[in-house]
Amino acid sequence: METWRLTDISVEDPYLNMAIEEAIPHAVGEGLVPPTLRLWQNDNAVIIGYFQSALQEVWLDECKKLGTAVIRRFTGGGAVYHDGGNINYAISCSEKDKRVPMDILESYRFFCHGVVRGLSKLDIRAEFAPINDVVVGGRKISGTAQTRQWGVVFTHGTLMVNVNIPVMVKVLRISEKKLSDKVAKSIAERVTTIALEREGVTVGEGKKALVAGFEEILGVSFESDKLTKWELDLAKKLREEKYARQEWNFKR
Amino acid sequence: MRGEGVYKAKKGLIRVSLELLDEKIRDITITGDFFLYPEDALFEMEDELKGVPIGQVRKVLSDFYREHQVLSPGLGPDDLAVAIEQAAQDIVQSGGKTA
Repeated sequence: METWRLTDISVEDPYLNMAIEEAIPHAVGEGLVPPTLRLWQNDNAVIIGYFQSALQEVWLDECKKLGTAVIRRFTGGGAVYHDGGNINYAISCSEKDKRVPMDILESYRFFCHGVVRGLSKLDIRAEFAPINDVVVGGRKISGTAQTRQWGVVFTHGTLMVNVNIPVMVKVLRISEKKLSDKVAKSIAERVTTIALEREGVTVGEGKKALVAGFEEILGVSFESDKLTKWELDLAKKLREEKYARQEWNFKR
Repeated sequence: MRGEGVYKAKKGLIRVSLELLDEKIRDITITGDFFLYPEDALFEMEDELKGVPIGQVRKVLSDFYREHQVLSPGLGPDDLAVAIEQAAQDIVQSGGKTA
């Protein structure tokens, strides 16, 4: 069975975390490292989609008060809130990898099924909700986004274990209209977490389940390894030139 | 004067900020939570729309999609056009001159 790299690497600096997110697929595309699954967390950040406007999607005053970083990612989709109760996963593999469907919609389904399989290990019955979500009882527990660049299929997503939903509701600006209590309630009602479905599951157990889920759909085994110096150097550069810059995060 | 258009497609909320001059697009920014491949085609699309009469937006967008092989799951060029036309309407309704 083919072995892929697993790296469970988070840093405190959310800008460097996002820079590492981009450095890994570059390294995979260059053939410097094996296909990779990265698991990671941020303490307190809002990550907006590539095409979004921070002003439209985020309550910036709340973020300032709460010390929440606002960072643009390099994939499309919607804004997400990250804290220690949220697992981020990112898979980078060659665009030529026969396991991954060529069709973009099908490949979303493929990777979301990894999450569904993972959740089943925790006795949570989840299902894929096209285009890019995984839901439990109709409530979103995981969202994913994909890009194809650098010769790589790059898919990343969130899996909420015990995210602070009241804070998430405070920082994400879901509607153009003022965020009334009614709206806030409806957001809280549209999402769920592993903890709400199965009390007592830890972030560590959530990560193990995800790894098992992805091993099943990919038919590979993961082996833990560090990031290379090449990746870390590129990540530092991307942090300085892109992810820590206002010009990038507020460019739209 | 700028107008705003917001349109919810099957997948994704499209927001358009638009400026018109003589019924042609002077400036446009398209934002939202959608997916579009290849990603940077969105910015080229915005450039391509500059100078285009509002009545020709649909044709320009569908040509652009075909020529650049744009793929945007859950939304199509017509959805983008609706959001742009709403933004143009917003300018008219707020008493702005487009001509």
